[in-house]
Amino acid sequence: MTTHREGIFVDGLWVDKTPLPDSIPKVSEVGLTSAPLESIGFHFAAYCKPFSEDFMLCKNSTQDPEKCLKEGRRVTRCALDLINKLKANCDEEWKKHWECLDKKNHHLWQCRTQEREFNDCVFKKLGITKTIPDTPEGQTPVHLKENPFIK
Amino acid sequence: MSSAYSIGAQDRPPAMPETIKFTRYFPRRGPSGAVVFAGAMAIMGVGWYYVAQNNAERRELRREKAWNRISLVPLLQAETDRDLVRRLHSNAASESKIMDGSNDVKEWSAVDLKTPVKGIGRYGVFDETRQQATPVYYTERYVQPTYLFVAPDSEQVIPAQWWRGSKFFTLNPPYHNRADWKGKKDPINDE
Repeated sequence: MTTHREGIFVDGLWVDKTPLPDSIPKVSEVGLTSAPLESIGFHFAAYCKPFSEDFMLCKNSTQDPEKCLKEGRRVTRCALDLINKLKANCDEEWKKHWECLDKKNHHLWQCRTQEREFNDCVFKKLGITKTIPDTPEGQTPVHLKENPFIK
Repeated sequence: MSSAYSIGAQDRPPAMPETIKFTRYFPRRGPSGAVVFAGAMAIMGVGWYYVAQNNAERRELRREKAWNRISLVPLLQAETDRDLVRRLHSNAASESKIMDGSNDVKEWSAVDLKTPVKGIGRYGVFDETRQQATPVYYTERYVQPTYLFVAPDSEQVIPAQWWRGSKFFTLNPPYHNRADWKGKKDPINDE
C-alpha cells in the first residue's frame, strides 16, 4: 500500500539533513520503536479510525505526497494523543507487554498474559477494545481463546 | 484350505492323544481388512482433527498479525510522506542553486517531469541537435521521480563504506556502536 520505494544508491549513500520548508506546518514525530507500536496497533486503529480513514481515502485519490500532508499530520497528532494517554494511565502494563514482545521475537501469541492485562487496563481507563476485523462469525477471537494450541 | 481337515488314522503313542498337525494351518481370525483400515483411519482422523484445529488457529494468528500491521500503515505512511516531501524540496533547492549559476540552460524546472525537455523528441527519441522539446510524462497524475541528481562532491553524499580507513587495510567495522570504536564518526546517526 505504501507509495515509497527504497532508493538504490549506486555510488554512495544520500543522507539529507535539511529540514522541512517553513511553509509546511511542523508536527512532532512519533518516536516509538517497533515493539510498542506493535502492541498498540489495534488500539490505534480503534482510537484514530476517522483520521486514518481520511488519510487513506486521500491516498487512494492521489499518489502525490504533498496533497495528503494535512491528513497525515492529523493522524500523527492523534497517535501522539493516544500515546500520551497510555503513558499517563497504563504505562506499567504497556511496558511489560512490549518488553515481553522484544524478548519473544515480536510474536503476539507468546505474550498473551501481559496483553490481557494491558487490554483490560486500556479498556477500563480509555474505553478502547481490540477487535480483529474479518474474524469468522461465532468464533472466539484468537487473542481471547482460553486454551489455545499455540502458546 | 478350509479349517476342517481330515487326515485319517495316525500312528501315535498313548501319551499323545491329539492328532499331530503337520499341514499348513492359517486360521482366518482376528479383524478383517476393512476393520484394520477403518481403525487406522480412525486413529489418523484424530490426528487430522487436531491438525485442522491448529491450522485454523494459525490462520487466525496470521490474520491478527496482518491486521496489526495494516492498522499502523497510515501512521508510518504519513511519516514517510513528510520525509519524502522534505527530501524532494531539498533536492529541488540544490538543483536550483546549481542551475542558477550556469548560463547554458535558460528554461528548466527543478525535479519536474511534465515540462518540455530539450533533446527529447516524439516517441521518446533522443535528439542530439536539441531542437525538439517534449515532456517526459504527459499524464495528469502525479509521477514520482525515478532518478534524482545529487552532486558528487556535495556533503550529502556519504561513501557507502565510510567506516573504511583505506581501500586496502580495513579497520574493524563498527558493530552496534561499540564503546571502543576509535575510527571515523558515523555521519548518518551521530550528531
